[in-house]
Amino acid sequence: MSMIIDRRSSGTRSTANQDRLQRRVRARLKVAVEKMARSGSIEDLANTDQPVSIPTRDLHEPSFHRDLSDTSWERVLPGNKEYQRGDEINKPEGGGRSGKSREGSPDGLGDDEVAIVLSADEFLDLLFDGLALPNLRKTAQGDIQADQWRRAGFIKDGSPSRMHVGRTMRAARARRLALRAGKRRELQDLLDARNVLREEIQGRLAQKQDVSVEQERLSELDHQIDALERKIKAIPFIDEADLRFAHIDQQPHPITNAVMFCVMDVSGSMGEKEKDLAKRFFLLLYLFLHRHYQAVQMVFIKHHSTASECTEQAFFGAREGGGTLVSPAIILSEEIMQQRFPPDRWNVYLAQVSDGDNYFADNAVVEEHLLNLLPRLRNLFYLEVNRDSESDLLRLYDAIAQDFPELVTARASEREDIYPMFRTLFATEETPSHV
Amino acid sequence: MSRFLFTDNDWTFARIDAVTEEVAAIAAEELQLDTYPNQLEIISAEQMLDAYASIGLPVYYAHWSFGKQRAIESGQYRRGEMGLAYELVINSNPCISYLMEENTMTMQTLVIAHAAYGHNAFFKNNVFFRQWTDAEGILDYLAFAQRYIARCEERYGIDTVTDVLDAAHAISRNGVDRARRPRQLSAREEEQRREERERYLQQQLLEIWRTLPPHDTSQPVDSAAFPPAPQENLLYFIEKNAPHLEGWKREILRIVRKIAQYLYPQGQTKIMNEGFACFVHYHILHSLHARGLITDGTLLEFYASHTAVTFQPDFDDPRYSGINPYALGFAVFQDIKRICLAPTDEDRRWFSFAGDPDWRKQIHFAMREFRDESFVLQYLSPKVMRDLHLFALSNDPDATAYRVSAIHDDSGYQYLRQAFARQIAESTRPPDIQIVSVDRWGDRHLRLRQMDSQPLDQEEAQKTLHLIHALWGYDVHLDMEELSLSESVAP
Repeated sequence: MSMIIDRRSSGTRSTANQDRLQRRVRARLKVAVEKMARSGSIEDLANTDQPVSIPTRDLHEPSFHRDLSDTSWERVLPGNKEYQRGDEINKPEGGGRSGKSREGSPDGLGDDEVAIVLSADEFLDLLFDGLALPNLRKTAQGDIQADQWRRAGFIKDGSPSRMHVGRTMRAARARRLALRAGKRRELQDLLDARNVLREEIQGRLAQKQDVSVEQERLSELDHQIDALERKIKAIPFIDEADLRFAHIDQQPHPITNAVMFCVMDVSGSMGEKEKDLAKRFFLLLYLFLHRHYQAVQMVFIKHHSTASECTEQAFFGAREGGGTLVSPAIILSEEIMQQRFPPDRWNVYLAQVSDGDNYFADNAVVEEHLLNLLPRLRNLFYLEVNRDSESDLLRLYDAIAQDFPELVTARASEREDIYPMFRTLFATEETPSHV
Repeated sequence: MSRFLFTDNDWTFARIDAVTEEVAAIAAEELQLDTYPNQLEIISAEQMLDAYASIGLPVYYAHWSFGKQRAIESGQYRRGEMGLAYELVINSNPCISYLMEENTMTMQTLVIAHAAYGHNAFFKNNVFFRQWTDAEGILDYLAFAQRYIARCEERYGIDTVTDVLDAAHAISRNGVDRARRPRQLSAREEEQRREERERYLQQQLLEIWRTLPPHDTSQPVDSAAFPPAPQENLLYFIEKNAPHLEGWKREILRIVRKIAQYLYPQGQTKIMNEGFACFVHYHILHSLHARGLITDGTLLEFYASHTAVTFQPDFDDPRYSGINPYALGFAVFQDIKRICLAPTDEDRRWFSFAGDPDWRKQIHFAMREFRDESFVLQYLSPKVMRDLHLFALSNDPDATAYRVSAIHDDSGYQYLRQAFARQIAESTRPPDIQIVSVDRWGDRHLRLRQMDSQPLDQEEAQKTLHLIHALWGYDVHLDMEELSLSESVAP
């Protein structure tokens, strides 16, 4: 007697083991993930389902076993072609250890690596473990609430443009049915009575009897019937009481969208390397914001002496010459923010990467616009790349940052600097400023 | 009208049902196989990888090492380095066989013959499985183990439980009673008596470890050696005698030990088990063809899979990775049948059963009464050694060359056979490490001794001792031939 069971639908049962594995190598995974963030390609970082390699020795399971590398052994092998008893076969150079030592290890894996596949969430969890957005405290207090129109059932009055025809017709039909039903029944009774009366009149006429009383009753009935029919006809097809309107209501709704302005200097002094640093910084920031908000929009603004909005490709591909002015970029950001991303509806972040070159006279303009802009931003991150000394621009930003904690500045000169710098920016230690 | 069970190659439940019925008939009539009832389960490739990760057990407690195994295997599978087994079969009653959904109908037929009848009969009849495993109780017991360990994780934390499991796994190969039959395990009974056992054990230990204050304190009351004789089952000894182990940890050691015990015969009978299953599927598929139930095309597809499975690459072939148990086992079982039906003079000199017309009886006997080591010693015939071109190579660590110590010729057959049996014994047996003494009246240190003479991997041994020490709680020493290792409590 055999039984056949289809188990395919019951799914896999490896999650518990997988969790425990990740738990065990969490520290390792973190190091690997951070290494990828430091030097891996940007495409890798942005991809989901990251396989992360962990050396098997970290996951080694020790047990008592033999080590036959330096001892005498005898082994039976298949496929003899030419050997006779007593033949000698020279040992391979290097002692031939590799082939034999594997025999001792129960899993036979040697020093291979295990690839642990992390989902996008797990990857980002590890990457941003222990980090938080600096100004999230403020946002959590409720000022990210915004009113949103939502459907809220049906009401009896409203503007004609919101009239709900289906609901209205349904109400009208119900009313018509309700008002007619009684009268129809009454009418039917009268009609029946009139028919009976008419037959009676016919009968009496045939017997030559007097029908004057009956005629009178008949005309009375006709009157009543006419009146009823008029009443029934007078029931309107649609009445004001039938009108229904779709209702929409304003409800407070937390803003879960964020916009990130990427502002980059594309003047001649920004080379491939600087752009790569910028790209890494923008990408990390993007991934990080993405963990806090449902959707993150990106706005790319490049500038030299003028500023323009552009596509991502143009942003990272562009290399333009000319002198550098920072203020046009700030002004353009401000404009775009006003037009498309009003700060009461959006969590606005601005990240700026520059090598710090700016016309001296422009700094004052930058300051003016920044002071205007900053209160409406969640954060402004300024990264200065590849400078041996601090620029005037950075000093200006640092000075403003004294009054505006939303403004965060940093410097980096190597690719490897970006991730550690990122970590220091967002580390969650209790900052003494709160005390 | 055609009587073929199927002509195209897609499987359906109805076809599997029909094939199973015919295979069952052949297994009973022509091979007289005695099997457990079958339960065939269709699973996906992902589920097959799951099953791999937990040594094929259908229910298993959670541990990171199974996750690691799965990560390795699914990586290899994705990269195309490893094909999945077509089947997996569990020694239980009913006997559960997994059929992969990707298999063709021919493959499903092969798998049913191989697993649901070949392995199944082997599980039910081989003396080692009968002695060491309890096919009735295993599924319940595994479910109990999974529940119990999950409860422990809730109560004491995943990390604490993992530490205990890590340590238990490290010595699980030294947790099997090789010499005597273990007690039957019954899950229901286990569960009912577990708490009682925990309490009782704790009391027992307090008794054992209490230093009865005698009138003469300088002289221990009981100076008799403890344990009285060396103990080979490290897990059992620690479970019963570790001074300060909490009850639930003892229970976990017991679970690991019971499962190791259950799995023990599989390692001991790899060649026989696979060989017998191949012998059975080979017979059944031919018989299905002879009865006109499968097409020539099906038979050819079967040949392709069968030869791939029983292929033995030569030692100098890049594909070589040791003797293929399928190839050797199948060759030996086929040869037993040949020796019965068409013996040569050589066979008559070597085997007393040569020419016995009842080959089934001989096959059954061989399948029932041996394990790999004794099976090879008994049945590896000169013909099989010649066919496989076996030769023995020996290594002297001081010499610059390996020496061919025997080849497949008249003077070498006996030697080859014995050398091969030794090799099997060595590879299936863990190093013989036994507990020789516990200093009950002093610092309670545990002393282990290596009883065989083959060198241990030192680094591994040290790490393993560290884990034993975590269970025992006091110093642990391991004496080997030339040196000894210790693991002490941190000061």
